[in-house]
Amino acid sequence: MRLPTTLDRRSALVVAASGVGAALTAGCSGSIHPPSPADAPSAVRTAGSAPADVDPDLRSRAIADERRLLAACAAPAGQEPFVTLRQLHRDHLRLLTGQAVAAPAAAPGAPAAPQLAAAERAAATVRRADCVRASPSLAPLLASLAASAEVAAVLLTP
Amino acid sequence: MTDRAAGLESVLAGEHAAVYGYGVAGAVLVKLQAPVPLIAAARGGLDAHRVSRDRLSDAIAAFAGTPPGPLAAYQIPFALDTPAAVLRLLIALEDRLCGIAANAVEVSVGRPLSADVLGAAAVRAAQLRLLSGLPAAGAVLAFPGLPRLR
Repeated sequence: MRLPTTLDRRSALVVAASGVGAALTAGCSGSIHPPSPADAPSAVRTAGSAPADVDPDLRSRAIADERRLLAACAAPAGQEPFVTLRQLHRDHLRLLTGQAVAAPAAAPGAPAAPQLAAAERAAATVRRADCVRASPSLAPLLASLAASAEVAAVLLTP
Repeated sequence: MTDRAAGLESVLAGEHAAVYGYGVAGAVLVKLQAPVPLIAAARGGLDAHRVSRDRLSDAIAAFAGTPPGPLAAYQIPFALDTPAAVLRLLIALEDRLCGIAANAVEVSVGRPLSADVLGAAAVRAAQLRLLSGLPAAGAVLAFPGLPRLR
């Protein structure tokens, strides 16, 4: 991934008075160059600096949490937001493991949303702490997973 | 500007843009007599971005950097003639900030702050999508800030 210079970013932000540049919302998300889905798992394994040796453990912990959360979202078919959350966790696992993940069997009873929300929040806290320790190549993914878990918790909260 | 704080400076520039955009959005929503939840979301977002902006400025100063100020003006990319258009702007602002923050997380200095900004922007983006009428499946992104991983 490349971190564009601040100058790149500011020029993308635009000054209307100058009559040049892009719009208020242009630019920066497009400047991110994460690995493609196909090569992302190997790419995130490869660290670019000293903390690289902790990355495998951090990834393993993320995978374990995602599997646990996916299993906890085994709601009856069609019930939202659990269907959406299951898909989210499957997407996360697919990227982290490099393999497609089957949907868990639907559980007969309604899941307990408050407990699941608490689990998502706890996972967010752990991912955010792990992202601080991770290599520069893994840290954005862990931060993104933390953000996703925060969003999941909000979806589960009335 | 210091290299050490470069990531945070980028995030701060994004917050300045968000504060501007939310300020405009709030005024337009009032003028359009938009539903109260939309106006409340715009006001809440403006307050949150101001707090984040100030927190980032303080952090950059603590790293012996000079916090960048806002630009003189920003260009709104499309006409804000309906509440839906305003919502679209706010969602785009949050998604953009997610991208900036995810990029900044690569830099170790200020990484927790960048991660906090990413989480907060992702939550607001999802809430705004829900407000716009999208179902849950369309309101959340699998990898906030890293859309190409999807």
